[in-house]
This record gives sequence, structure tokens and C-alpha cells, in this order.
Amino acid sequence: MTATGSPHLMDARTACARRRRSVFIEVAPWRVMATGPDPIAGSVPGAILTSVKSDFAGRPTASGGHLPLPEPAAVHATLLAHGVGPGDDLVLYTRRIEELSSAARAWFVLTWAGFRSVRVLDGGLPAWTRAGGWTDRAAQTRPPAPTQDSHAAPSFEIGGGGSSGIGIGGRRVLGITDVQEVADYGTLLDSRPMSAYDGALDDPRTGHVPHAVHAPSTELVAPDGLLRSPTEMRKWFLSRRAIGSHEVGAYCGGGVSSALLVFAGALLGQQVGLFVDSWSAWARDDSLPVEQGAAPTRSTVVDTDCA
Amino acid sequence: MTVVSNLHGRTTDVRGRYAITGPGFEITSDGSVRSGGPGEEAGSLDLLVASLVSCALNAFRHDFVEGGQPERRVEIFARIERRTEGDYLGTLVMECFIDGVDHVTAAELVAEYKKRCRIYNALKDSLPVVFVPHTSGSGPEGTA
Repeated sequence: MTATGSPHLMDARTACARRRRSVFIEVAPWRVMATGPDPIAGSVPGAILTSVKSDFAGRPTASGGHLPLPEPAAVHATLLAHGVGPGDDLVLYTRRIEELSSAARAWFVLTWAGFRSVRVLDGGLPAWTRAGGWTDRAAQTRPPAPTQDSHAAPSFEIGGGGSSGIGIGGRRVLGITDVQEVADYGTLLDSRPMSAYDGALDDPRTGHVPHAVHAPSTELVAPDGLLRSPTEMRKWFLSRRAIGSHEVGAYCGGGVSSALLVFAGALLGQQVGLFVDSWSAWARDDSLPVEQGAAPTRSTVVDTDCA
Repeated sequence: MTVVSNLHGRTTDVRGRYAITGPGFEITSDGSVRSGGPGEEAGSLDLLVASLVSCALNAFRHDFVEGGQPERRVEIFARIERRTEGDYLGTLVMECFIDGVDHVTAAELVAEYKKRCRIYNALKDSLPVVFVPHTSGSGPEGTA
């Protein structure tokens, strides 16, 4: 991985060398991502154990997605309970390579909430052990989730209010209107598997946001569990019209696998907005259009005619 | 002596679809959906960009390759960026992946292209072109 030195990504060798200066955070996925027993016993010594659902998502609402953003104050309170503040060097990792997008979701939430130094460990725990990092079998228990109105946490203004906008860390959160605009004028990436993107003919609320481009983030991970090289990722994004000064957005089922697209975009210097509510909210609203089929369609509102 | 390059264009039975033929080839081109065309095949802007991409592929493939050396593999992703309210064609960005060259050679290849490509030189004032060469194992380096 030649993105070494990126403010967002850390290779395992560097992580091992900086172990004492960094706070490691192990992120568990919101659902089982891989079958079979856990291949590695223990965790990075001293790691804080977290999960997407408990620590990097809020409570679902009737109209939103199933993994909405948490209150930023709750995020700060969770880490403050471990003595960790926004200025600490955080290194996020997952136990399995299939779970990388969970670390990306945690990265998104933490940078959105104002944590300044947040990196994802490339290749996760398997890369850590391959690099000679040792693990601690005495797993630390995760502290109880803080209450939303915790007095210990400061308040934060994110993106000027509402459900969309740009957070402190430069993360862009897309609302429904933003998504429609990005799909029409920019490039909207759909990170779900092809079967979900394609939809089922007997269910009109399956398929994708009209003009979204299929972009499964699993393709960004090489077989060895490391992110693909910057050149490979750039070509991957370019081939999906997702590099440029136009608006680029991403969604999936609940804003986890698409967070990996946002993360990869950040590595490439491309701002990608995240529709956190994602398909779990879009499909539920009958007033929103749905398109089916494997082939992406062009928006008719974009004027590329010469005259 | 004068040399000539010929093309023939005609409307088809499909509204907004055009057949463009030359000696030994045929290109189908569509008007956009917005203008009543199918918007499926290459539009006029695509064809304009394609001419520059084709010329650049040709140049980067073999310029400065010494006899007996293999020609380069080249991949170009081109896009035109334009503000929606802009009354101009836009800026063409060409991200060029050229195997087997370093940054210095890549810059020389771009300079040679700019010097030699007649299409580029005919268009550059109204269609600025930004080259972003990517070489093996390195990040992008933009050149205007």
C-alpha cells in the first residue's frame, strides 16, 4: 500500500512501531460479515472494544435508516469514558478483513464528530499479527453506552444543523434532497451487492436510486485484506465517474459499506458524501423513485449537448 | 499538395440518432435525451473528447520508444468539467496511466503531445486541457 503517510490510513508495521503513542479501537461490525471461528485470539493490547451499532450509530427513527448517525456528544462521551479525547491519535481496526467497512464507518463518525487524528489500520488485526504485533487475550469489556444527554460531553455543531451538511472533519452527510441532486448532476455510488442494486421484479421497492452507479466497496480490498493500491483505487473510481470536481455521493443499506467508499475517496483526495440513512430509508418512502436493472442510466437533466 | 480527411453523416430512422461513416468504419452518435435523442450512443461532446484521447493514446504509446523496445500500455480517463450555469465548453481533464515511465518522461510525453497534436492546438484556447499523468508506482502529478 503506497498510501503510507496518509492522514487516514496506517500500515501494520507503522502501527506496531507507534503502539505506545496511539489509542487502538477495535470495531465490531453491526452484523456477522464472515463465517467460521475467529481466526485470531485476543486483541491489540489495550484496545478499546467498540461496535458499529452501539458506538457509531444512533437510535433508528421511523423515517430514517437503520443505522443513523449518533449524537456527536455521545461519541465523545464514549471515548471520554476511556480517557480518550479529540486530540488523541486513534487507530481503528477490525478483527477480520471482511469487516474493514466497519472501521471505515467508525472513521467517518469520529472525523465527522471532530476527532482530529483518526486512522484505519490497513488489513486489520490479521495484518497486525503478520507484522509481528502481539495480541492480548484478556479482552477488555466495552463500557456501557453513554446516555444521549451525558453531562460529561461537550455539545457540537455539526454541519449547520439538520440531517445533512459538512461536519467538523470535512465529512459530508447527504440528506434525501442532496442524494437526488447528486444522482442527477453528479455521481451517486451504490455499494450494495449487484442483486440488491438490480432489484426484484416482483417488489417495486427494490433496486436503486435512479442513475446510481453500482460500486461495491468490497472490490476495494485485495485478497490479502489490504486496500488496493492508490492507482488501482483511482482507476476504479474513475471508471465509475467518481473522480472530479462534481458532487460524488455514496450509499448502501445503512451507511457502513458505503463508508468505505468515502474513506477510499479521502485517500484519493476525492470528497464523497455519505447518505447515512441509505437504502433502508429510501425504500421505505413510497414517494421516492426507484430504478431497477443492472445497467446504470444517464440523468436527462445533465446538458452535455453542444448547442 | 493538399490532403483530405472525409466523413459522411446522416440522420437515421431513429429520431436523434446519426450514422457517421468514413472509409471502412461507422460510428453511431446520439443526440441527448434532453434534445429529443436517445442519449445512448456517443454524443457530439464525447466524439470531440474521443479525438483528443485517441490522439494522446497514440502519442504516449510510442513517442520516445527506442527501436526494439516494447511499446507502452496506456489508459486514459477523460472528463469535461463545467459549471452548470457556464456558457462555455468546460475544462478537459485527462488522467493518463502510462506504464513504464517516470515523471520526467511522462512530462516530456505530455509536452510533445501538446507541441504536435493539431487537434489539441486547434482547441486549447476554448477547451483548456489538464493532463494528470500517473506513472508506475506513483501518485498523480497535474500539469496544465
